[in-house]
Amino acid sequence: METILFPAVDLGVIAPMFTIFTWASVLLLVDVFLIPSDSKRFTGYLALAGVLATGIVTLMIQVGRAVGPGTSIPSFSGMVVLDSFGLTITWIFLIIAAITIAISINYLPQHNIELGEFYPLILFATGGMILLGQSTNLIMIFLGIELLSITLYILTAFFYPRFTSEEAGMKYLLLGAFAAGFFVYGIALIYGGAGTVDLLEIGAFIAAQPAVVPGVLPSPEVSLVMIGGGLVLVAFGFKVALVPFHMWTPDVYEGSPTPVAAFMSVGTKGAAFSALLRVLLIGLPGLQVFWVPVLGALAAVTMIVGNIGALQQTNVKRMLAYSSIGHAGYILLGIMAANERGTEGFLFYILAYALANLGAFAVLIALEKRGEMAWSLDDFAGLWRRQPMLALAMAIFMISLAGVHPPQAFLASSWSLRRRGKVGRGRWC
Amino acid sequence: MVPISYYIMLSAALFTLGVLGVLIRRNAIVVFMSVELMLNAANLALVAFALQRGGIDGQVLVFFVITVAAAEVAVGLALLVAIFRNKRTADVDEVNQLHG
Repeated sequence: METILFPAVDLGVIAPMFTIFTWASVLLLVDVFLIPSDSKRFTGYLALAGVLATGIVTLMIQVGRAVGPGTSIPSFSGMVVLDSFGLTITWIFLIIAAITIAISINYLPQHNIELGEFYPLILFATGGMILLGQSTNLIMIFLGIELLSITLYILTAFFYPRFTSEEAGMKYLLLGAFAAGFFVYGIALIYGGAGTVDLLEIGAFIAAQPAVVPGVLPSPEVSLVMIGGGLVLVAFGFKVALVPFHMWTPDVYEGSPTPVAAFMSVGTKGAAFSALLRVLLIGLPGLQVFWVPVLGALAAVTMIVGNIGALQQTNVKRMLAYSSIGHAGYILLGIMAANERGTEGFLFYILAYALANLGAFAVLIALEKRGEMAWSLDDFAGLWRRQPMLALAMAIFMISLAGVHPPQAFLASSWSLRRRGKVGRGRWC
Repeated sequence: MVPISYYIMLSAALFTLGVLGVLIRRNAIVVFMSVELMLNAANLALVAFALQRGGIDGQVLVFFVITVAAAEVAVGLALLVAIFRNKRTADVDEVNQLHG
């Protein structure tokens, strides 16, 4: 009988998610017992304070542990890691959560769904996203995905008793649970092949085997890992809406409350892609010859179907859903590059995409506030005369989503120019 | 002792049954049951591999999967009840107001 040894734990590594989960749990109780039902907006303000507190803790950890490029502090037997990738993506998630809560505070009472648990649920989902960004173990990735998904099922159906919202929640739940089945079976096969669920150890196991080449049958263990990796990839495809696993996306975005759709479109994508990035680059780099062509084909099909699908829509929420499918294809390219520049591009793209997409949804919410449903493209005709500022903002966000990021392009190009100047190979600097 | 490969074959068969159930059956409760079948097939595979390897990682994951599945079913059944109150049906084909 093996004795169970408790490993040394470093609470600093999980400090950001510890803060946000604690805050969310306490906020649930505070909301029920202390905040009267006609002033639930205070719950929203307290949730914003929670995001701020998490940001302060994250900053303290970042400075206190001197986390920079190359830092990697594992803890809890290597289940989670503190590194600059995890912290950067944590910052992006906190920005997304803060914007979502801010645009919900007025939206909920206007649609008579002002229930206090909305805000703690957003915090729980954000905590799940942070866990996904930091985990280096398949068990933790499974937990993070499920934590994020189960809260999102509830949030999607938050328009109770509106039927379309329940339908959206049901569709999302059935497909999400289906994907979870693939994910767990994939983990089981990887565990069967490699004998471990730790990404670093899986990577070491594959590196120790004879090199895998197409056309030669690999050993049974490596074959198990490959089949398992394929199933895990299918599950991630469902979560981030890659074609052909994208069918739920337009329905779910249309049915769910608009702030939830905004949160889901950028948050789930960022979190699931960052976990996928760790799985592929830490766990399965030895199988690169197999997953690069597969991901390339998926990315190409996703970009084409997403963007052509968006052209046919007359409902703005469905159009944004198809646009988010197309963007999943672009983000996948950053992962496929499988190098440091690709990862940098991935993080930058997630931030730029999050700001543009949240902005577009915020304009939709601002229009809904003025009594228009603003979901049909016809509602946007003549918007410049009625709401010039909103029309201008929508135009900027749409141009951003179309791929011409005016502010980001400026930042990105000046940043990469400066980088070239430092290396000394620059043509312009 | 029963060889490990028997367990794996049984779990693969159960998983396939679960996938087919999700794809073919139209009653939402049966679809849920099929998803549970998929998860439990994975649990069986995990326990069998853990027995073969002599480690505990697989057995630990099984506990997490059971917990998560319970949470998922709690949310799912609540949604199902809400939909049934509205439409008096649990057929996933009749829950189809959203389409492009």
